[in-house]
Amino acid sequence: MEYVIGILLLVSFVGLAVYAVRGGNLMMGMLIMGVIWTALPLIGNTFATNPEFIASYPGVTDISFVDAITNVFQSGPEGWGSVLVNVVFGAWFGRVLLQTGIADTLIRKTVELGGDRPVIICVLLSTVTTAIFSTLFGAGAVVAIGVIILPILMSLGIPKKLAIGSFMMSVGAGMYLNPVLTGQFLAFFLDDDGKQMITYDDPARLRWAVVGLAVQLIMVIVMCIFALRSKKTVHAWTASAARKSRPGYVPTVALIAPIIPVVLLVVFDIPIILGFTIGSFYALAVCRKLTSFRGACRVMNKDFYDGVVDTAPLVGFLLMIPMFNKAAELCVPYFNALLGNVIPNNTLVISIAFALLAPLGLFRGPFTLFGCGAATLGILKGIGFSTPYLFALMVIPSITMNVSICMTQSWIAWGVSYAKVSTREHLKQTLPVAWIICAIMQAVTFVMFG
Amino acid sequence: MNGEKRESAGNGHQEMIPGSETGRKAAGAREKWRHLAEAFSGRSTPELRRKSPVVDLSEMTRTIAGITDEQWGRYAFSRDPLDGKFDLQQKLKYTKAANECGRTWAARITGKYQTRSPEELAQKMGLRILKPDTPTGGGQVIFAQFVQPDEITVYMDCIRRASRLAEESGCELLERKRLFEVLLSHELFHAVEEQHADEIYTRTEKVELWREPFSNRSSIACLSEMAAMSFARELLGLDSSPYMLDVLLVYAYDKEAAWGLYEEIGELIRI
Repeated sequence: MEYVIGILLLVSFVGLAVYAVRGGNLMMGMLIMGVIWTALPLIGNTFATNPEFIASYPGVTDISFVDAITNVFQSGPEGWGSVLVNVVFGAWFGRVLLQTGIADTLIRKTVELGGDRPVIICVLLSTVTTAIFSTLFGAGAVVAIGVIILPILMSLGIPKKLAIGSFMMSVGAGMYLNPVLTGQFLAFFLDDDGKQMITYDDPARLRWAVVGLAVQLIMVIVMCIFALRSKKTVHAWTASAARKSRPGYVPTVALIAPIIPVVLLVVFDIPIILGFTIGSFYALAVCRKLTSFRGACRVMNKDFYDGVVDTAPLVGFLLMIPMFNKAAELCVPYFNALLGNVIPNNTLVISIAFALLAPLGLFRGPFTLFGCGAATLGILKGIGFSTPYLFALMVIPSITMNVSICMTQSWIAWGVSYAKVSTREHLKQTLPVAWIICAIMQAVTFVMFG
Repeated sequence: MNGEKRESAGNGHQEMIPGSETGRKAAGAREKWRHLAEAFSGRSTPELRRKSPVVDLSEMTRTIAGITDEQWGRYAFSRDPLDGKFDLQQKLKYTKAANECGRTWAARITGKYQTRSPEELAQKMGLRILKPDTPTGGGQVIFAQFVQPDEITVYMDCIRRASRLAEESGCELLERKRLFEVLLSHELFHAVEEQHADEIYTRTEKVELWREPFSNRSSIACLSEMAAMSFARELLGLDSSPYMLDVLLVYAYDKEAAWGLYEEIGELIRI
């Protein structure tokens, strides 16, 4: 019986992969999978006769129907409340940086240092973008920064596919350290009591994240230098849509605002929400947006509202993922019965496989936690790898393949459409680099946690 | 440059543009709620775009045809990455010099090759002209480009679309042949720059960006564009600056974007 259920689960898994690759709505996909992956193991539990199988998974194979649906559909989304709160505060902070003009000024100052040298501009802007997105999160923030940076890059004759590729991969580099995105990954690693099995400020994880950021940023810079080494200058007569009136330069002391939350968290152990709050009020104060109490209330209200709207598409998806995760836990016995002897219990082999097959993190495939990788993680968890190793193993393709270059990522779809670059051109430019980054980071992961 | 009424597409219905603060706030709130609802329903969320006043094409054409080179200079600098490095006086000085450069080189080149025809000039200068039908659009519209050392591309999709507006706008620059010549002339200047890089103003004028002991001397990208416009205007004997095509060609792709650009230019030249 366990094999029949295992096969049915695997078929539904492939179904999700196909659905995701074809661009299906993932929020609905996750909900449907949550239902299927709750129903199938419950049916299996009812008809399982192998006493050894039943005894091997106490609390899973003998779970009651009510407990199962409560775990999946109630406790699951509730457990992600803390992640959502971080997302909202991060989005608010992002809006503050945009509305005060801090992000705009940072970019303009950077460009003024580069002048007419595309390589220097590309390198400087990639570095600044990475720094900004080590804290900022959300499609709204990426689009808001993108509409400033991309026309600059293109006006300097930098090919559109390189402009998009370097910008989006720089955003992705920052995401290795981004507390909001990391919070979403960490929520995949909760124990039975809902406590995190690995934390943002875990020293080893933090070191690994810094290495990830550095590796991806360096590879983006190498990509720019390589692509522009013998680039012919292009003078294009273009016109872009109207730009919003720019907010003007902000005081120099305001430019440190983007890194305040992360520095406070890493150096002083100040919780991230307080970090976002301190960072936001610092930015508003030095940019003289807090002239009166009433004005401060209005600004805070508006930025919070805009921030929530920015993250709204993510919120629905985030609330469905935990149902799927919890349902995947019910499926572990059946996956183990089917695949336990097939998937190697060896970190070196797994790391090599993840390096070689890294593109499976694209199109919401089985290597990304923002796709059907949530199920892959469920299977790997059942085998018994360590939490830090599994975290790093899955996060690499999730960030470098999915968040940094995949067309199914909302802001990348926007960027590619904005610059009128074809998917093929975009992937041709970025996939080889992303693949190398994944391979390097899988090697780093094996050395650190394997 | 502000329109008062908006005509709904198709039915000729006239509605007032929300002019009051309350009206604008209410419209903004409605738009955001719609945005939020779309997001939760799983649909892709369109980028919020500010509505600009609707302006009749012929009226818009007449207005921008009257913009001076100095005023276009403000617009050109607003697009330049180094915009923040200069004050208004410096920008004006650079604008005048760039326009003078374009005119001077138009005279030199026509004198040297004994023709004012852009196509003949391109041929005599050893340049290749490509005319792909590549559809442009998106956030940026590309009209034409020059690629080192000798390749000019004029996008015909842009010409085809824009030439349909020639009659409605009353702008002779949008007539098919004329538009091709203007785009080609503009790119010809960049070829001239390439061939005379060591003596032409737009390449020799540099600004220091770094503090001592480091150095990074950079040219100013918008000077090249202003000179190219001036070159095309002089070469073809145009009454107004080809910069007006920025608005009119965008109009051929996206009216809202063109109205926004028109509004922005209006704000810039009123500085």
